[in-house]
Amino acid sequence: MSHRRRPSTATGRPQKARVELNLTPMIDVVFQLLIYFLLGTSFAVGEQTFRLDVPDRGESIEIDPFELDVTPVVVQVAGSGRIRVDGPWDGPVHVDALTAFLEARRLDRGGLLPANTPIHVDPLPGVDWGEAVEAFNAAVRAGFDSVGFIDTSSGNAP
Amino acid sequence: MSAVSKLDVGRPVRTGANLTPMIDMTFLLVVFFVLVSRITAVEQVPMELPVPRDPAAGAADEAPRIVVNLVHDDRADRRRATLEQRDFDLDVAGIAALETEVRRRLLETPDLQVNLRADRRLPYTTVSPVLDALGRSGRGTDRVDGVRVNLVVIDESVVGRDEDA
Repeated sequence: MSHRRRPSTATGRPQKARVELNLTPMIDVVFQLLIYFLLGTSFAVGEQTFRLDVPDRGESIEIDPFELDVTPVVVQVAGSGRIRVDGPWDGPVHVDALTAFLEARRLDRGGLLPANTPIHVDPLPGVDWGEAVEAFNAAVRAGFDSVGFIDTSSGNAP
Repeated sequence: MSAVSKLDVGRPVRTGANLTPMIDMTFLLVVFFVLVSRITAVEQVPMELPVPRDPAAGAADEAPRIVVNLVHDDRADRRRATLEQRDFDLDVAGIAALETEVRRRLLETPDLQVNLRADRRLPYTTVSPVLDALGRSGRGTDRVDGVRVNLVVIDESVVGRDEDA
């Protein structure tokens, strides 16, 4: 803030003192803060989500006695990309081939599995979360609606 | 800046840019970034998320959600689940406490979803009990299809595009 008395004018009357607020340093600091937050804020770049409805496995459910059982397809994940798909077929042994394999068995692609066939991803002990999600993604990409995880190693199978 | 007045010839006119709206806007932007960076720091705990090839995942919708983070640590006993800056041990008691906390929030907010951010290096045997607990947390909340859990992954192609830009 500056507060100074100007010299008298030709009329002999002194000018009024001018009171000014110097905003320049404040604007400088505010812009510095703005740039800091613009550069420093990281939003969830590239994050996407898979929808997963997790039922309560311990709760009793009402079963329709007239509803036919749909046998799930179990995809065992053994680590390092190795998988095993149990069933009456010569299944793929690597996760890279899982999408094409499941897609070819969809009912609307000439296979025998309706799109609502449950696909159970069963990671074996020692398999990490990244590999489990890779197999899960391959099954979702094949167009099946009901893909989930099971854990047979701890007895938490549905 | 000065010019000559047309009304009062000879008297200089003081002209100046009105900085008030600019300062207002700048302060609003600063406040926005301060708040957003705090929110993201709480929810987006740094970790290595799964990076599936050609992911079939989609963008998260705008429904209310809470974020459960599972961070990797080489020592299994140091691994924790976090929910809004609250830590939960991954033992029986800790997972039961997490289940109770999630159930409380599910009862408070009917259409609440749970985002699960788990480090890809964690063994599945560490993530599985948390998934089970999230499923059990829907007990008594009238959710017919169970608890809606969103598994968070990274789409590397999106990250690459952003980095290129």
